Amino acid sequence: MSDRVPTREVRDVLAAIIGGDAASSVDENDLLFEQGLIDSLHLIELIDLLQERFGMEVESDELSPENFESLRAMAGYVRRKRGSHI
Amino acid sequence: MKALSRGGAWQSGPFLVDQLLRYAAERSPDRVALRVGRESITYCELDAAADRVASALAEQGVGIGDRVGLHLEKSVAGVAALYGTMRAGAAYVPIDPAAPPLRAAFLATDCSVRALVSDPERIAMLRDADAAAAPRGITVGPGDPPVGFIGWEEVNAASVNPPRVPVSDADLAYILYTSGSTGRPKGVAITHRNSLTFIRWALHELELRDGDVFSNHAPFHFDLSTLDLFGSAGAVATVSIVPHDVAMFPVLLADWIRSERITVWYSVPSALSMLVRYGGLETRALDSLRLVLFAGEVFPTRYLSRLMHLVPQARFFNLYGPTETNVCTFEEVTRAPEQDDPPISIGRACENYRCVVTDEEGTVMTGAGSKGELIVKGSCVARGYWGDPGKTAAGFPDAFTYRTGDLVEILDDSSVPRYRFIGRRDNMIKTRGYRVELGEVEAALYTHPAVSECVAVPLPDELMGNRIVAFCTVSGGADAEELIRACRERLPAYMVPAQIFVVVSLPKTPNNKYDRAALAKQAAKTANQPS
Repeated sequence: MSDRVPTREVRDVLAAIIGGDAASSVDENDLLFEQGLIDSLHLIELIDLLQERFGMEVESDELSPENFESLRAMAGYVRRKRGSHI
Repeated sequence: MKALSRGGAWQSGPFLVDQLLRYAAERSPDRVALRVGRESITYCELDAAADRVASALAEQGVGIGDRVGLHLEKSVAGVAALYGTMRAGAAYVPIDPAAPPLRAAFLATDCSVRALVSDPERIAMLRDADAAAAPRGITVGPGDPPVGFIGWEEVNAASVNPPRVPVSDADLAYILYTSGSTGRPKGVAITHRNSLTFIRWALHELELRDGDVFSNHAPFHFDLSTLDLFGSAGAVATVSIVPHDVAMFPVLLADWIRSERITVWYSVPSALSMLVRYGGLETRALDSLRLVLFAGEVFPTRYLSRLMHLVPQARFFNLYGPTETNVCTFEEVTRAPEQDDPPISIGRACENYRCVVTDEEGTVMTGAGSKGELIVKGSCVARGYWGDPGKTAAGFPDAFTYRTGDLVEILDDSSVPRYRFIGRRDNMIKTRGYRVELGEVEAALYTHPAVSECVAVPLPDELMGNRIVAFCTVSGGADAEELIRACRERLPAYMVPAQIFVVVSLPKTPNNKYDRAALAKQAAKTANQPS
């Protein structure tokens, strides 16, 4: 359960940026940047929305491909952030 | 005074952009000219590669006065193709590798490219959109070349002695497409003389030198890239291209600048703002940087100030100039601005350029405090817009003059005064340094059959300059998502509205024009509300 919820929520965040159609066709393992699904402009919006939606602060060193390359990576990152603060 | 040495060896030549490469190869054949990730190439090798490309293109019928489209990711082959095109006597036309096929095909056919350098996948997409967009040319990367194209292996086997072509410095070196207000992108036609006027100035004023390592952050279809490529060749220095994934993540970018020992950085301010905000520079000293150059939009004071404190050894220059003039004014920022300071100045005219400020009737204004449109004169001014005499006549009153459409304030009473940018005469905005004519966004929306009326407005954003928001009235059932999709098919990503509101009616001003100011206010209000 706790494994699934953030992935869906992160997908919602992505939908707010690239549109629901596009976001729903993204596999959770798709490489978002490599496949050109999001660019650096989107990344700024993504950070803003993640911070707002999940009440967390994205630190410089966390803004890395490991944490942001795919929906799954982002969901894992959000879970770890929440786990460490709540 | 350094006037005597101004321009140095460049006063007597070279006169063609690609000769910068030949000159560098003769002076320092074994110096690394270019690095792209793990790939690198020396000046001698790059010069030979450019010759081979020129031979291969000549074989395909490319000659003096032609255009060659470059539609590919940045690579060593891509840079060789760019120089090779000029050496064949043609102008290179860089096409954003991420552009939607419809737009890429429009650019290629608008300037009727004689040949194209691209990869098999993109060629197929272009041909689907319009067969004339990819008539013949060269493929790079894996895959069999399609009909009419030759592979890079064949280029490698081509002669290093291409046919000599009588190119003059009044011929075109490249065409850079920029947003057009009526929905058609405009091709800014730059001659060798235009480009070298700027490069000579930069070599001298910025004291570019052979020990430098330039970064290249801007895409090749963006004029900032010409300083990275041709400034580094002119200085016989090295240019290293920022890898795509590195550019995305500020921490990786900071580490990359350190490991590449970059000395000259040039980009839009938003890339630097991201680096300040998320680059972790407190623990990653960018101690190799000696020049930080930025252009394209106003640098938010807060981030510029922090950057100057974090990179204390570097010199900082604000360069200003539309694509049509190259860089035409500059300001060295010597003191970190305070939070409440007015936006930094765009500086004064570069040497050998002349700027004047005029009012709406064209009367020249002088004296501190005067405000008007900035007019630029000199051999830096582009020849005009490709295939568009109407727009050329409107923007270029004569062969050496360009009306920028930028409104500025004169800051002092000197004969070469400094200026401050205060706004636009029209509906052009900047987002991450890119010019966007809001009319072009609206034209893309109008291609959707359900759209009855639409207005695009800017939503100011500290990191990006502006986001774009559009308001539409529709007949039938189109929703915002569908309209965004229509924009994506026609516009590059930076021009696609961040948000589209479908509304019942659009507000008008008393003289029956759309009330853009009211809509901009509405967009800002919506943005500040949590969704």
